[in-house]
Amino acid sequence: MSRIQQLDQSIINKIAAGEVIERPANVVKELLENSVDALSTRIDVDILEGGADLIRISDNGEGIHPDDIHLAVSSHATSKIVTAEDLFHIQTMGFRGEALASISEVSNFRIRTRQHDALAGTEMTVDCGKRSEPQPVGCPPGTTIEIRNLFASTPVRRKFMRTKGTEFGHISEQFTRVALANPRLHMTLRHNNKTVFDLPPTDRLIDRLELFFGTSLTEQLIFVESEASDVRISGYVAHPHTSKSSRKSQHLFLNGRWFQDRSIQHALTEAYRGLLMIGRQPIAFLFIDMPPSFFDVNVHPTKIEVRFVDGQHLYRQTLALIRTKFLSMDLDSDFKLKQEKANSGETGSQQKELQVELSAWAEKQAGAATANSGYLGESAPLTTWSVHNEASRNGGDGSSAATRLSAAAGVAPSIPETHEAANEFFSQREDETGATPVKVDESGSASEEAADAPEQGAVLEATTPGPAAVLRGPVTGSVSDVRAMQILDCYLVVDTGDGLTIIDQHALHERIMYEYLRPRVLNKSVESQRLLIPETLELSTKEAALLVEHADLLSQIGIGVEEFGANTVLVNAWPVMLRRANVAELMRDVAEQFESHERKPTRRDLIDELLQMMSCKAAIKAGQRLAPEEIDSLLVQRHLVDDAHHCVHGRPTALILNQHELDRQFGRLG
Amino acid sequence: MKLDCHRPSLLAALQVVSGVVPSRTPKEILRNVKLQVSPTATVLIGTDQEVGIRQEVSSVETDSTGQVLLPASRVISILRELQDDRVTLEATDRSLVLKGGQSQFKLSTEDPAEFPAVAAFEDENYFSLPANTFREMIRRTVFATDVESTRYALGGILLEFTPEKATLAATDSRRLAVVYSACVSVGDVNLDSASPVIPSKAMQLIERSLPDSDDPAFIAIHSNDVLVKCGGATIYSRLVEGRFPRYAEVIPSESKASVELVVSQFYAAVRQAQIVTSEESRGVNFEFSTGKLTLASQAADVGESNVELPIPYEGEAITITFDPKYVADFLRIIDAGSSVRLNLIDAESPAVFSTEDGYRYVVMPLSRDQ
Repeated sequence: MSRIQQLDQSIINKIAAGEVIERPANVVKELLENSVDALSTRIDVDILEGGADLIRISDNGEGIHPDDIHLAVSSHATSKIVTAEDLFHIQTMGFRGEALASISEVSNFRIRTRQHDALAGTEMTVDCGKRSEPQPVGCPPGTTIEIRNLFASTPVRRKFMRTKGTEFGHISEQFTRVALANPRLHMTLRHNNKTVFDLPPTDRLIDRLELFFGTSLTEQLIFVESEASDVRISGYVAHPHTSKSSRKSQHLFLNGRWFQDRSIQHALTEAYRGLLMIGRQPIAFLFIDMPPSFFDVNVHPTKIEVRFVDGQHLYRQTLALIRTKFLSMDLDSDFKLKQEKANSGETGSQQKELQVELSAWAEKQAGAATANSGYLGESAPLTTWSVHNEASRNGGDGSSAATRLSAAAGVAPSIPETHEAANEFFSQREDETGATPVKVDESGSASEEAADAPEQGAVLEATTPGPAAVLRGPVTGSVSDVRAMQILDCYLVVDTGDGLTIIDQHALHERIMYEYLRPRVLNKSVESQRLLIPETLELSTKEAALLVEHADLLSQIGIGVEEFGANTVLVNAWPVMLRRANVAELMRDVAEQFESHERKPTRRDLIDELLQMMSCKAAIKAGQRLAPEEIDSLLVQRHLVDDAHHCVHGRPTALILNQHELDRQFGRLG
Repeated sequence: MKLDCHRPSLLAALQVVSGVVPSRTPKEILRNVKLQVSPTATVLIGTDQEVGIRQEVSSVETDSTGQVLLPASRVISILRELQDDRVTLEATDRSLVLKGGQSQFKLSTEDPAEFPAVAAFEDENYFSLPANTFREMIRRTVFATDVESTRYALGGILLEFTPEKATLAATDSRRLAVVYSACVSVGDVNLDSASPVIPSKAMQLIERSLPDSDDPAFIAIHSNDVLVKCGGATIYSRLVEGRFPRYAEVIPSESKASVELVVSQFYAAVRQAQIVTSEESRGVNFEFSTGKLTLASQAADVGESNVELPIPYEGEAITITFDPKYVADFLRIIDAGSSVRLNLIDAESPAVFSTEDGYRYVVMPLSRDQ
């Protein structure tokens, strides 16, 4: 039976290294953060062989006092905090005092440092925990740390390192995170003596984003900013035209530190709801600044997760920020359309009025959301609002709600400042958001709700926050007796019994086609016509390679692809349902789709995208006149599909005006 | 210029020529048919500039020569409505007067000099084969073309000549029809350029204008166009650009299963099975087993069908899925009383139908699960 022993410090450090230092990228992260904390203005990173051979980080920061140098590589020794109390007011990137100790335990470590007012610098080496005596040495001000043979003393971990390309990829990612958080820092990154990044200091974050992600992305970025009760959120979000299939392009920074947060990611998804295709994720670079007392970073060894004191508030502020921005912007997928209508003729002016009203409505919603977060920011606890909410719910009937809403509309633009006016409005607002989202999402229960409280119908309709408030899908009336007409050869106007619905024929049909194709593809019951004489396609070498590489996937949707020389591909089977499509054109689009994915997309994603593309091409177009039977058939099918309220690209398929809204427009409610 | 014509002959000739007259064209003048009178013959000429036709009109009495443009659709309407056996046409500079019985029509006309020329058959080197044979060959191939394909060559029929043998082939890349017959070469034909691809529109026109007799049809091939002459009609067509697929390579030379099918029965069964298919769900399973062929189709949202047919089949059971349209297309043009042979390899390889006179039709099956 073995006895319990106190482990010696070296083993403790090795264990700690296991937690913090998993791969070279972690070393780079820790050292970069140290350099940032040392108030450097320039940091140079040199990497050899993916970090396995050498990681060298030089900064021009404060340097370390010669007497402290032993402490620097001891565990739980740090200059960053002094008392336990400090843990809750952390202003620096690091604080645990573990990094250098852990790293020096598992590598050949050398540090050279000189404080700015010192005459000479100090050098010390640590070989897997064995320290040499510090020596005076000539060096520039700042600190240079060299790590060679990382994991020399832990061969197993060294064995687990991936290829140098992969490891360098991770390093580059860490570097990017620090570089984005600190645009004023001059940073360079070199790999195997080749400069990968040389980032000049800049005051404009967008410049740095451009260096990393290219103009094609930065052109699509929209600046957002909001501040409420000491919490400032700023940064860029991408126009809904541009999106990714994963959340990897959502970069969140809290007080200059990159972090991950499910709640904020969810807020982003919510803010883009109805604007992105299903399965696509928004791109965002959001910088959150708040007093250190509002959050706790001491929950994760590498600090990539953070616990917020009031996460709900942050969630709402993020959501409101982006929505407000989008609503003020005329994202062309929805509002532009209506302006064009408004410009045409006499009916146009009426339409325009309606339009203004409607968008004012939507704006109010968003304004309210900001106001509401401001309100909460003033430390109103969540419980208060639900009570509040309950009260106003019981107290308010439809018409008084409407009056209050229009009162609030007046103050909407200045809402963030005028909290009192907003609060009154907000009470109503909370009623809606708090009570209805679940119901609004399902047509069935929405109609139930409408039956229960007819006066609240309008409120319900318009409540789904954001653009979806105005343009929303599910029809509640039954199909058998719908009366529909086509206008402008593009829209169907349907009497739903309690108002009218305007449907975009292409968007709806596209959705129907998609829903029709999808189960067949997933059940693998796609019919494919083999070609007696395969069609040869001349493509770019890359396109050809991509198509061949994804041949398995393509065969699932009935397209047979075979390699045929460098830039030629043979198509030897073609789906029956796409008989009329142009093979060459479609295959080029498909290749483009493959190309636009940075990494290998999942099968499901790809199939989905291909189906979307195909259904778009196969669907009736705007400007196509429809026979009454065709309209009927389209409307009947509308109820067969799972997700009729927006097309596959996330555009809404229908706009609803219910009776309450119409009454309000015509002043019938008084 | 004045002519006295036999109305039914003129109408028939005009109707043949109007087959090429485009109904919509930016060049208005192409909607006319040119009437050209020379001491030797009276000819009607129409063209859409891709395809042209010169058709001789019989039973014309005239002393004059000259030319006039007939507004095709109006003149046809008039000739159809008139009851009399003979009509007179009188052309002046800008107008045409048409008289028949109690009726008289005066139509304004355009300048015949602006009408594009259509080549006449003046070749000395050409191939020749009986008109009715050529006609049947076209009928057996033209349906397999695909005029909408981006591969233009598939919108035409390939003609391959050797001094003794003419072969016609057409494919839309899903099926292939190949037919051949004996032919004769006249003069010194250039065999290097003896495999033109002729647009299916021109071939249809040729088929319609060929008489059902064994009068010879002459085919002269030039580098960019082809002329076909038979009796009083000469058809000119530009050739389709693009390379026709090497069709011979896709015809399987061997087979694992072979069965003789009576066309009338088989066609009836295919037509029945075809009823329960839809635009998106085309497939019909052809299940061959000893003594029996079962055609089973199943289309989502439509229903199912099951059609059985006794056949003299004795091999291993085999199931192959076809788009029944492709099978029906072939059976429709075969004499219902005859029989065809079907050779199969497996469910994924091309199936070959053939007749005793050497007509082969290859169809690629559908596949459901890959």
